[in-house]
Amino acid sequence: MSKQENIRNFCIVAHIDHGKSTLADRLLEMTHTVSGREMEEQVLDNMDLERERGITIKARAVRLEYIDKEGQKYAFNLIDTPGHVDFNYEVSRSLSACEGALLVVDATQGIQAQTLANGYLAFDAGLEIIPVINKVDLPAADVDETRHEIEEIVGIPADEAPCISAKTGLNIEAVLDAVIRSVPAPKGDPFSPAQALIFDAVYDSYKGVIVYVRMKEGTLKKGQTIRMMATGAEYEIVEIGYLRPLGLEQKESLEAGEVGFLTAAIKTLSDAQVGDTITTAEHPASQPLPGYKKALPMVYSGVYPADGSHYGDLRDALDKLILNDASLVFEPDTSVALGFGFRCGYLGLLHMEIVLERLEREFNLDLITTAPSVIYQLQMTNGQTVMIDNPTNYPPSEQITAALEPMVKASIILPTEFVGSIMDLCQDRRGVLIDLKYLGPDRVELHYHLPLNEIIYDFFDALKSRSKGYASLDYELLGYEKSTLVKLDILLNGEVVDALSFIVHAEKAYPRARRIVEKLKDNIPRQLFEIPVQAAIGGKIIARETVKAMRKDVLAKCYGGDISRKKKLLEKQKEGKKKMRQLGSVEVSKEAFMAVLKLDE
Amino acid sequence: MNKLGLYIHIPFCRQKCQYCAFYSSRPRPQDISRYVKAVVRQLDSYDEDLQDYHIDTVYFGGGTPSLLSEGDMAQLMDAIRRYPLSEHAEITCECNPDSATENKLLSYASLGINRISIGMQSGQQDELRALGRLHTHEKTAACVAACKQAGIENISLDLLLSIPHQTPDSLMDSLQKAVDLHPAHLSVYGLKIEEKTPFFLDPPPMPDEDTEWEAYQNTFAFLESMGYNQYEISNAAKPGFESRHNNKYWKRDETLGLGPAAHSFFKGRRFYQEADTAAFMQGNKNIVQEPPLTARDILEETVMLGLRLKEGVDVTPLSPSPQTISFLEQLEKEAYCTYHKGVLSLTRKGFFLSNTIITSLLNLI
Repeated sequence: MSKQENIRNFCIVAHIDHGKSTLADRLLEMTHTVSGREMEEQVLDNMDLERERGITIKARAVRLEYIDKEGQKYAFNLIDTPGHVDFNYEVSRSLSACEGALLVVDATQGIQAQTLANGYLAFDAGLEIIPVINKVDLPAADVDETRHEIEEIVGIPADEAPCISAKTGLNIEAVLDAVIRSVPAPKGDPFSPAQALIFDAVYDSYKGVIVYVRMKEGTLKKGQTIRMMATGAEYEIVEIGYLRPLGLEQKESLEAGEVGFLTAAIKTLSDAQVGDTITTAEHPASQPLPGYKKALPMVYSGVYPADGSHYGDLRDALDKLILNDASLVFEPDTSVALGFGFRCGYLGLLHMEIVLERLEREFNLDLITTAPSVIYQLQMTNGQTVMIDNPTNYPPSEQITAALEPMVKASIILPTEFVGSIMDLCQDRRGVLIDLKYLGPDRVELHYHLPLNEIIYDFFDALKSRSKGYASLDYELLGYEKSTLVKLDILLNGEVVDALSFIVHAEKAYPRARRIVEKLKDNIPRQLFEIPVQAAIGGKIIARETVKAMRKDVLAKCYGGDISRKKKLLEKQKEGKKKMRQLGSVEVSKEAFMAVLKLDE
Repeated sequence: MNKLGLYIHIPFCRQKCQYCAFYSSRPRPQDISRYVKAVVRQLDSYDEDLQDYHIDTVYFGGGTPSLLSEGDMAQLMDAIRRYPLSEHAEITCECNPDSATENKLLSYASLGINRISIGMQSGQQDELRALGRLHTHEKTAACVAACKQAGIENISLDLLLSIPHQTPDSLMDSLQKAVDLHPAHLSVYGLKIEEKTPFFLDPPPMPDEDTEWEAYQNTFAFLESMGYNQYEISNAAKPGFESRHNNKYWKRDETLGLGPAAHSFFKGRRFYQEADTAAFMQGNKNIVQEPPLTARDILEETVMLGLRLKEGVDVTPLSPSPQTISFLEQLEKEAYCTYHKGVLSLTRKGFFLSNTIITSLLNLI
């Protein structure tokens, strides 16, 4: 048990690729927690093992021990934060577990959107922020300019910011010393009723949920009965202790100021929600720690097995996935076109990509997903308000008196040379420019209000391609605004394909309809019969293309009695047909469904 | 007595054509006579089996069978005649215009060969050169004349579509030149870039689907207007001159193939000789048996092969479901087929889409 004055709880915040994990690795080495060789071998081995056991990739927090030049022994708790806007809420909970934050800035790139977004979050959480200038060893590093930007844009003094190279290990001690000097020691009374903040949790198939906690007040002991203050559920602590780089270190208790883990035979992650407060059943705290929110999905899409017979596999995979992804929600859904599948809800677009990638990679599934949708709010003629996330459920327009769509406040940081092109993009996506700020001679921050449904398709990809990868994006939800929405249906051979319907702003309906029918035309293979591809609003056709009938598919030569080649060819064709979805008389490949999701290419 | 078609593969060519994926190599001295002896040995190895049959078609294919000297051919024909050979057997030999001399054709005819299939390919010099052919159109015409001189009237000409440099005009010109030679039969194949051919490594520009479609439709429409009925996807003939040997393949009649890479359908089994001429000449059997045919295999073969023929397939024994029948009616509406009294037959438009039609149909039955 460490004295509180010798504990430092901090996190590292940075824009993606600015060196957060490299710095974390160096800190592990410097504190002799793990040797260089062990870094390579044991930590990785440990990760492999964890992976096999279904735990998410890397420990989200680690306790390091450090002896400074005066021989004083410190316990550092380094808490990791997810780096993306979709996980802002998780980030804010991780920050609440700390007293300080290292704000790492790449000296070759300067401040980026996530540097700012995460920096502000750290401010809001009341953390002491220590700027760290990284990658100073690179020829393109501009330390003075970076220092200047930190002071000007973030608004914190940077003259004492350690200038380091996390890659080469240059000046890492300065970071450790700054942590001791500047991050306040935790406060909190070990004898008060317990309040432990859940800042992360992972699922382990042997132990159940491993809950990562920051003890704010009081003490938790092994064997104690605890209570989750948001849900009221009670459990008995089975294990408690510190999070060490090479595994869990068992202790008898955790005290105010400390960071560690506990297990209590908790079966699913939804029973240990990030942001909830743990107290004891015997002496419960009078109120939970502030800031708990239930993470709510913002984006929905249909997910179907490419081969309809794999529905059961998809269901099993989703059941397993939610064990360690509490933010994912799903319910069964059926589509005339795609058969049985699920409607899934995600925190955002990145979260959606992660979920789909994990389903395909970890569970070896081949999936078809439908266009992502946000949640629309419809006021109906009968006075009701309904929330719609699935175009299939969109009511006929005459029953709707008003439609509202979610808006976001977006911050985009980019080099000045791309401003024109990015402003065009934002305008095209119905964005309203709120503010344009020069961050330096050649960098600009744009503030836009944008409809969420305009950025969930391919906005991020378009942003990256139009700025050669330099633009960075951060956004947060603003609320709902009135809008003119229509449901656009796609018809193949005269029949509506429900899986291709989506809700769109009236002004965008025509250009999007055109692009979709063109994309479909290019991605539906020519077949025996001509196929009209149409887009319609409420029965009125607004765009049409035609997939011409195929004309040639013949193996003319079949000679000397060798029919095996022809047989093989037909077998291959039959296999190919199995991979196609039969929609009425039209065969549609997975690629055609997916092409509709990338209209900006 | 069962009828049997005999196929003899001659795996030698003086020069490999740019597009050809058939098994052949350049013969060294003595190769051909050694090869002929090996074929005779293989034929004799079927001695007992052949007693139940009489051979009513013989087909010398290649490679370049016309590389066989009169003596080589005589040895083969003598060997074949030791088995029951129908008096009116169709005996075909493929010929390259440049390797078939008048004398050779005279002796082939005297040995009983009564049908010659000539690899004309094109009537245009630039197209022939692009294909890597050694002959000229004059040679083709001379070869046809030599056949007739030798008393062989049943002549077939092979032509190619989609040759590099071919235009609609040059194609029509080649077709006219072919018809002017008054063959009894014409085979017209689309050039296809096959793996392991020179064209595969260095592909020539290929026409698009629509151009190929036009060429195909125009070709057979033209031939029909000249009295050649298209009786199969790639073949047209004057009435009564359809290739009896090739028809055996489409109708699943029995055929026995001799020589490397030759395929057989004999006594209910499909098998083939491995494509290794040297091993074959050393007397190695290297027969590869295809898996025994299931009832489903037989059904699929019947449909797949039968639909190559204009006369089509009687699908009544397959008891087509209402779904199948509606599919067939849809095909008929698009003029891809005719479906009458249970007999399904593809139109020219349908022939050019036969793979897709067959797979769709087989998925339904």
